[in-house]
Amino acid sequence: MAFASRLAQGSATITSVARSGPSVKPVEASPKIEFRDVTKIFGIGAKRMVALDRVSLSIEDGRFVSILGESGCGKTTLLRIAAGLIPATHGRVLMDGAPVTKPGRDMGFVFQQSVLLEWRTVLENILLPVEIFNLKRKDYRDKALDLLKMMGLSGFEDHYPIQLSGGMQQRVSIARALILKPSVLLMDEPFGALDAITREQMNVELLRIWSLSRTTAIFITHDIAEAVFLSDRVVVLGSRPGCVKQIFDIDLPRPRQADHRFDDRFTKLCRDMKHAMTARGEQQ
Amino acid sequence: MTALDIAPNEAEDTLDQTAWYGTKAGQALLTLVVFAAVLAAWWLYVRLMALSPLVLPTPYQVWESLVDNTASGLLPMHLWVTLSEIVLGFILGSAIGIALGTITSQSPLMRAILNPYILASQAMPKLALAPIMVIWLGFGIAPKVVITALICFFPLLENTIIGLTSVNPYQVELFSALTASRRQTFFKLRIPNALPVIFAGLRVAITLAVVGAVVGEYVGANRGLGALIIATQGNFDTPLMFAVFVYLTIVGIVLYKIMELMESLFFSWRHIKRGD
Repeated sequence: MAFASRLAQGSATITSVARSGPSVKPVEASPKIEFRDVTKIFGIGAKRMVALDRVSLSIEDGRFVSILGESGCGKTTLLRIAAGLIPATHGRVLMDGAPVTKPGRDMGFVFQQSVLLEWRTVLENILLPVEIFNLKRKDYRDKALDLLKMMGLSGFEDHYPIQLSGGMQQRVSIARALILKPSVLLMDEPFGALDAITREQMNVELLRIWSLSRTTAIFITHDIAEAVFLSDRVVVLGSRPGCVKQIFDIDLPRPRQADHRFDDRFTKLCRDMKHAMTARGEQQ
Repeated sequence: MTALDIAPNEAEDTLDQTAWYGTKAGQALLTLVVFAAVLAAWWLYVRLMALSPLVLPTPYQVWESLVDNTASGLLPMHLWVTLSEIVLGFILGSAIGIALGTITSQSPLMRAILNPYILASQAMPKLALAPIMVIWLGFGIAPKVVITALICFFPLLENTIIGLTSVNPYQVELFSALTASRRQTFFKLRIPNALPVIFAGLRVAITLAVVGAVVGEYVGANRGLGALIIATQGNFDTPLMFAVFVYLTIVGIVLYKIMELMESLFFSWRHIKRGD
């Protein structure tokens, strides 16, 4: 029975992907990142759980794409597969046409928490990737200080993480992710632990920083407004198993300001997305 | 959300800084007053009960014995012996504990195999081994060093394993996302993570080391503060015995403070005020 219902859900996935197909703009160049039928199954036998079911997506270079879904829909798993931290059960992720099998220098990862090393100063934390890749610290010192300035954290380089607020810590972790100039920035609900006001400020700052570096960005969130505000495109993931429900292109003008959240187009997109997230069977 | 939010709770338990007893000098004065009161009560008790100095000497008799026997060189000589046992045993035991803990932490299989033995040897009171150490190693300083080392070994073994293995899983994931090698993860993540825990083990060990050396001397020795206590018991020189207690207390405090000082030099970041 369970198997039959899974099959039914599977076919629903295919339909919804096909339905959302026309909304994707024709790809001019080859995509920066491509998910091809990515499926992830955890456990075996009775504990078998399909976390992701044939997720296919392509993301063009320099785009900011959010993956939106309820908690437990497998969006973090999807990001971890993209980062090469865990393998997909079926399907593959391609970066510049080559399959991603392990993490690489070309990707910056920002976690749900700032994950700073508490015994290192802010500057030493930002330079950690430099050390791990056996590069010279002094070659990156200026770059690190530039990043701190960009983050509005000038003068904090010798502080310890414990001295910073949650928002500041997360900014340091973004600086750490950017220090080696990755071509892809992967962010896993980086502002989920922050209060609403700080979070909106961080959204504005993230866009400012991103507009300077223009890396391809994949941003995981369960916050609809955050996804709309930040992204060129929002991919709505359905739950259990995680599958692409609908893809929205966000054509709001950039640079975006905090007040854009109150525009009619913004709120309409949020509403549509909310419906897409909560929609169950009626899609068929 | 931030560290600042914790501040009000912490403030509840602090002193009124404006009152005279809120100042450092005021507190030091109060501590001295309490000390004087305890000494006075002690003295009064001996006098009122007309106790013999054999049972309980007065504070002044203890002071006299302390000064005389320090000047004569008796107490410093025994102190030197005990102190060498403590320091040698502490260094030996801690070093072996840290080394074995580091090796054990590298493999879950090894931990699983060794765990019952570690548990058993933890439960076994190490001081009970003192007599056999005397049989094996004689009456010199060696058996006391070994007993002290045994006592210091286990807190360090355990804390090293805990410190090196209980690493924040997010930090481990950060290192794998950065493609860090095992070696890099060990030196840049596991060791810094373990250091505070290892230092906590050292603080426990240094206090235990004093106990180990003194009790080791009880069992069979002619030198050392422990041996001196046994000798004063035989001679009914209770004031000198109390003088030894004073020495031991000071040794314990000084060694502990040295460990604390080393720790604070190592982890300046831990002493920074939250929220700045």
